Parts: sequence; structure tokens; C-alpha cells
Amino acid sequence: MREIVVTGLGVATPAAVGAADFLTAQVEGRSGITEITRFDASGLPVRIAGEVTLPGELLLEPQERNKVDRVTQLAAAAARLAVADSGLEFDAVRPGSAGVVLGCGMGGAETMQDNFMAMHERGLAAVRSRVVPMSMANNAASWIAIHYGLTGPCTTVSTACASGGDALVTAHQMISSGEADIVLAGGAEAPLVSGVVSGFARLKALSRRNDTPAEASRPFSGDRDGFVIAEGAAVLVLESAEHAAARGARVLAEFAGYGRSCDAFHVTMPHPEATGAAAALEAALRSARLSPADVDHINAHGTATKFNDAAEATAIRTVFGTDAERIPITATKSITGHSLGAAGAIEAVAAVQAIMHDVVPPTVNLTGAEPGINVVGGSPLETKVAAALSNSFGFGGHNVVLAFTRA
Amino acid sequence: MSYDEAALAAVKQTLIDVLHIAEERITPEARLREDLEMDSLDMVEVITHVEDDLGHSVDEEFLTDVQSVGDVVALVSKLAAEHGVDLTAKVLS
Repeated sequence: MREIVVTGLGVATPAAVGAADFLTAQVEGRSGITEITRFDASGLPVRIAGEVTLPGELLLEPQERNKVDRVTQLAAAAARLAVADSGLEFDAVRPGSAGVVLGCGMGGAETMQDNFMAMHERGLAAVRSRVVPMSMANNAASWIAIHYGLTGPCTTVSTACASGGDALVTAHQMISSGEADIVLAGGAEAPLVSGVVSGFARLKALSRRNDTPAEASRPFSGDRDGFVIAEGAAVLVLESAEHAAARGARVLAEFAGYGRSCDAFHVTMPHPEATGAAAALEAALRSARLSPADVDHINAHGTATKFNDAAEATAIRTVFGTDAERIPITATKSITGHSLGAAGAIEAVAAVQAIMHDVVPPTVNLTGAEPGINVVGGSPLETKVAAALSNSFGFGGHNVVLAFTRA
Repeated sequence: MSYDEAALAAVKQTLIDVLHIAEERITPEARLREDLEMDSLDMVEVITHVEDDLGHSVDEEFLTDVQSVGDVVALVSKLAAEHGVDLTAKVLS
């Protein structure tokens, strides 16, 4: 099987845009959670979220932006950053050998809500003829392929909050099978519209700490009260090791393996014994040829819902035994919020950066963590990180664990 | 205002409002694809708005020769005259 390496990182998160600033935000524990400004949330029970502020140079021109949903704008920004970081010149790439895989849970939610509301209020003439292409879940991946002229495989996976992780797995399979040499892989989500935020609020999944936004996302804390919804995107440039070596690319980490499973239990509730999450962790260790003792860091799914974090802690204790008390864990969502289908990709970037810089950033707002696991709070932990896992679990019972190692 | 003047004003407003094309780029001579970077879906958006405004559907066969803003204006003007639609009384949105 071909080795897969990471050669470029692009992120657009509420905490920071661009890999370098994202690393700083993680290490400093700088939260990107604020009051919602993208729409009038004043009448809603949840009025906080993670919003991304894109710098001008990453915004599409007005005429182009008008043709895409917010989710594609975010994906486009992450893709541009990743490609620039990788130094790739697609003109020099064999035609058909470069592909795209993105994870996306909700598709173009804003486009759908705006058009459907407008139709309800003003009738058929209010519906844009672009509403279908703009809101389809695969629009962002398609935009990237068109923009760069990538004629290899291009697909989109949708497994709710595990989508970003699943997209990277799909990319891994594309390269290891020989279907592609390069894949732009990641996730994008733009769920900050009143209908989606209200849906999650009505599900009682969201934190209601409206008055203290930066303190609202509290993964693994005893007083956590739900996740903070966010938008975001991340794209990683993945290549076969041979392709990266042939072009003299800077290799950031090896994407050493992955594990997946399904709870097959409940659409939103994790299995109380976390058997599915544990199975995915075990499969990832096998796939990457790692033993529990080899693992230096886990980037947790860590949403800050009561049930997710408890189940995740159970899975980690089950698989790692006494090593669970040693392995430093962090939950990036404490500063980014939870960007659903983008989260797994954003946190894959974080895991790669932990390896690159030998640092485990803190989980902010941590008070009274789950027993038997080592969640890093307060200050960043400088420690050797040669092997890191990144967990993603999604509504539907989808469990994905990615394994990255020092190249 | 003649049909042509009214049609130009209406088409211009549609290109600005619906496609977010900068106003100074929109001249009768401007070519839709080459100058205004419009694709086939942009054309569909414009035509659906024209249809809403005229209250009549536009046959696809009329579109084959449409290359420039002036061609769209001529088409809208002709259809408005045929159907007796007063474009100045309409606000294309």
C-alpha cells in the first residue's frame, strides 16, 4: 500500500484563518466564539456561535460570490490556503491524477433558507434559478475542482459531524488504491442560519451561555452544557509519498491510517458503552501499526455535550487502559466551536500541527475533566508528539479516527 | 421613454441586482461571456427575471443569437412591444 503524506494545510475557523495563525490561536487558547452577527438571533434561545472572518484577499469577487453559498466561499478560502502552503503547481501535475474530497453535513443551508423563505413570502419569482446548484452538498468540492481544473475523482461525503474525518479517509483510499496521486481533502460547513441554529437549539444540543460566549464551549468540563455551533472549513493537501518526494515537497506528517465504525444504535445518542468509538480507535491503531503506548496525543471530538464527552472518555479508557491517564488530549472545539462537517478536517490540521511543533494546545474553559483521561487545560503542553489520533463522531452513529505520524 | 430605453434600464438593473455585475461594466456593447464573465446559468437567471417581468415565457430559440447586453435589450424590447408590456411601470428585481 502506498504511503500518504500531508503537504499543505489550509484552515478558516472562527478562532483564526490560515495555518500559522490557527496554531497561535490554539496555543494561546484564543476563542473565536462571539454573539451571532450573521443573522438576527435576538429571539432565539441560542445567540452565540463561531463565525469566520475572512480577510479581503480570500473573499471571492462579488460577482463570483453571488453564485455560491457561504459554505463554498469558506471551502474556497481553505483550498487556496492549502494549495499555497503545499507549493503545488497543478500545471505540472499529470492530468486526471489530482482529486477533491470534502465533507459537508448541511450543504448550502443559507441559500436554501433564503430562497424557501422568499418563495413563501413572495412566490415563485423570488426563487433563484441557481438555488439547486448553490445549495447542493457537493457544490464546494465541485467549485474547487473547477477552479483548479482537477479532473481526477471529486466527491463529497456527508456523515454529519464525522464528515470531515470521513472525507480524509476517502482521500486516503483514493491515493492508496492508485486512483489519485494528490487529493485536496477536507470539510466545510456554513450552518449559521436561523433554521439550522434553531433546530440544534430545539434538540437541546447547544450551550445557552449567551452572556459569556468565549466561555461557552467547555469540552470535558463537569459544567458543560452543550456545543457551540460554528462555521468553518479546512483543506489538507494529501499526496502519495512518492509524488511528494518527486516534486521535492515539504512533508508535514504521514497520514498513517484510520479506523471507522458505526454505533448502529441511535441517530443522535452515542452508545453509552462507546463500543463503536472504541472499535474505531482500535481499528485506527491497527491500520497505522501503532500500539497504545506509541500514541503521544489525541485530538478529541470533544463537543462539550454531556453524552458525547462521557462516551468519548469511556472509549479512550477502554482502548488505552492505563495509557489513557498518560496521553495528553485536547479538544480544539473549545476555541473554534463545532463546525459539524468541517470539524474533523480542522482538527486533522490541529493534529498535524501538534506533530510538527511538538505541542499539545490547551482545552480552554476546562474545569473538572472526565475521570481517567488526561485533558490538557491551562497552558500548552510542550512534549514530543510523533503519533497523534484525531477523533470524529457524528449524528447517525458514525465514528472516524485518523492517525497521523511524524514523517 | 422608448421601449429600447426602458429595456436597457431594466436589463441593467437585473444584471446589477441579480448577478452583482459592477454597473460601469454594463454597456450595450459588452459581451456577456467575454466581458461580463457570464455563464449559461447566469443567462438562465436573467431570462427567468425577464420572463417574470414580461409575464410571458421566452422561447429558447430566441437566445441562440444573444451575445451582448444590446442583444438582450433588443430581445426584451421586442417581446415587451409584442405583448404590450410597459417596462417603465415594472421594477425588475
